[in-house]
Amino acid sequence: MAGLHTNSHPEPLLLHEAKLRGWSGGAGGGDEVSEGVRGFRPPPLQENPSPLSGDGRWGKRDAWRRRGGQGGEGGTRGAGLLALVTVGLMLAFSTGRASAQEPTPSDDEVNAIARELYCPVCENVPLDVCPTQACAQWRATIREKLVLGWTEPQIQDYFVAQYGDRVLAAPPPRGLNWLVYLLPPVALVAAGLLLWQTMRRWRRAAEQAPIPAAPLEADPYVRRLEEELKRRG
Amino acid sequence: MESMTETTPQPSSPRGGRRWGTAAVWVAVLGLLTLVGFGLIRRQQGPVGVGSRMPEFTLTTFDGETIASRDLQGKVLLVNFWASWCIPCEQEAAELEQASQLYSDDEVVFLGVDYVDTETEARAYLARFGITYANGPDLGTRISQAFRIRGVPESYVVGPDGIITSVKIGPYVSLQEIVDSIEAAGGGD
Repeated sequence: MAGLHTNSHPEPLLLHEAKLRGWSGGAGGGDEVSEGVRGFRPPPLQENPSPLSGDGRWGKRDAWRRRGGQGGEGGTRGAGLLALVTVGLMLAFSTGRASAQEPTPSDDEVNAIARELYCPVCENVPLDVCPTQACAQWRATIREKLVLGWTEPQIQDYFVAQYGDRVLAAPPPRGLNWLVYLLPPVALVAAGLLLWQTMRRWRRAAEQAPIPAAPLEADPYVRRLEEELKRRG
Repeated sequence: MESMTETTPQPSSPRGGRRWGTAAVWVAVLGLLTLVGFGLIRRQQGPVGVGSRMPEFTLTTFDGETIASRDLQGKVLLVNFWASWCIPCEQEAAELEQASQLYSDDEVVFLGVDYVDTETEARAYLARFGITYANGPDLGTRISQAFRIRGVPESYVVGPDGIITSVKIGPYVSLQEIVDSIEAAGGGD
């Protein structure tokens, strides 16, 4: 645990920096671009003044010029201009040494892990939507760990070691935490059993209850009603 | 109830089984309620107070040094909980460092416990305020849970006998306030 703290970590890769670095799109793309950049690098001008010297057209023109032919000033100026433009383009594409691209995790990758973690200081706020500065720092930590090649479980373990179980979206199944996993299904089964028993009891009671077979004539109200009807009718 | 038991000669009847089931459910519910009650009582306890024994802890500093609280017996100890994202902590950071410079490590020990923070920002914070006394992360929030802190900053001054002599919730407002609490604990005698 202490080792995690004594290690020196690189600065978190900022989004704009990641975008700048990742313009080639991932490690593979980076290699291709590196090759491409190397391909555009101009050859040494002293040894080979023209990119198409030798058997190329310019080479022939140079040879003709060296032979004392009349190229004219305009032709020389045009060739020089073309060479300048070409060299300028080549320099533009070969600024600096191309280095190996680091994999730069996207915001989606960071948030996919942050979604499973909770802000250690806010109440019930997932880390991917937490707006505080502290949460931004923790998301930067996730990005930093992803750059280092850590897996999601490793990052989760790191957060648990640093901030405790409270950062997990679901408590780890150990100790009293088992209650969280066991109680809901047990309560569901118990409720189902209770419901089933109650309904069975009601049904049985309904079946066993004697149907009141009291004659209508016995009812004084019915009797009075009958008498009233007879009297009027 | 008794009369029913007397009139029911077979204990293994369905009614007897149902009664056992009901009793088991009640025992489970009561057990659960007890657990919840203990949890709530613990939450309501508040921070470790003045007169209590300091909880034992081990702090691994950012420099990799391991400090055990039991090894600090006989010295006055000031434990300060802070975080780089905590703005009020900045109000007392410079004063705490100044206070730590007033005493030798043999008599008063200052310990900074960095509560839920990132290492990069924590180190930047320590550098910004020129803090030189021992500081380390509260791994797994174990130390803050032991002290039952409510937030940061919080500071605890512990006497040479391991008893907490003062608790400061929020930032110290002056160097003098820190000095007073240390001297009240027997520091600087």
